[in-house]
Amino acid sequence: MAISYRYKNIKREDGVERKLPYIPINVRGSGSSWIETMALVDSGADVSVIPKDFAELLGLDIGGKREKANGLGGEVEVVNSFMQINIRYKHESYTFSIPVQVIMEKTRIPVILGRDGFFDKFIIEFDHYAERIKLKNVPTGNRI
Amino acid sequence: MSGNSNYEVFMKEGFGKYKGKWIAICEKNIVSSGENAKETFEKAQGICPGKKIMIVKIPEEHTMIY
Repeated sequence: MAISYRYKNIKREDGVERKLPYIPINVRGSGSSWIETMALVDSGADVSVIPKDFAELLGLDIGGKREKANGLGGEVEVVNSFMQINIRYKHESYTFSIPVQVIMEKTRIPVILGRDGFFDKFIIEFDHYAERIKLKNVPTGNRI
Repeated sequence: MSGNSNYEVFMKEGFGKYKGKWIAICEKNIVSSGENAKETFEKAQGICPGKKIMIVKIPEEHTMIY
C-alpha cells in the first residue's frame, strides 16, 4: 500500500506559491512521549535535520561532540543523534529509528527528513505536477 | 490523510503571521506560537491538557536552500 500526502502550498508575499512535500510524522527521543509534527521530505539532504530547540523538546542527548555540517546555506555546527519516527495512515504504521543532525545554532529550518534511515524504508515518489508525495513501504526481504 | 484534525488545519491554513515561528495545533485551533519549540509545546499542553498536539515550524517567505 502507498501512503499519499498532498503538498503544502505556502504563498509568499509576492504572490508566488511554493509547493512543499510535507508529511505528518510522530517523533520521540529515547523514553519520551510521541510528538506529532510535520516534516519536510528532502531528497537532497544526506541526513535528517532538526533545530536544537526541537531536539530539547524531544529530550535528545545533544551533549555529544560538535561537528561542522555543510549545505548550500553555509556551514553550521551540529551534534549527531538519533530519533524514533512513526508514520501512520489508516491500518499502516511504521516505526523506526533514524540518524539526525541537531543544528546547534539559531536556524530558520523546519524538521527535515533526509535520506539516511528514511529513504531506504520507502519508495518515495515526488509528483510535483499532482502536488503529492507518495510513500510505498518496501519489505526488507524485497530489497536488492 | 484523514481523521487527523491537526493535520487538516496545517494543510488549510496560510500561516501568514506565523512564518518562521513554531505553532502548536490542538483540536482544530492554533493554541500557541513562538520562537522556541519547547516553550510553544509546553504552553499548548497547558491550554490542551491530555489532548493531541501537533507542533510545526512554519516555513519562512524565502526560498529554502540548505
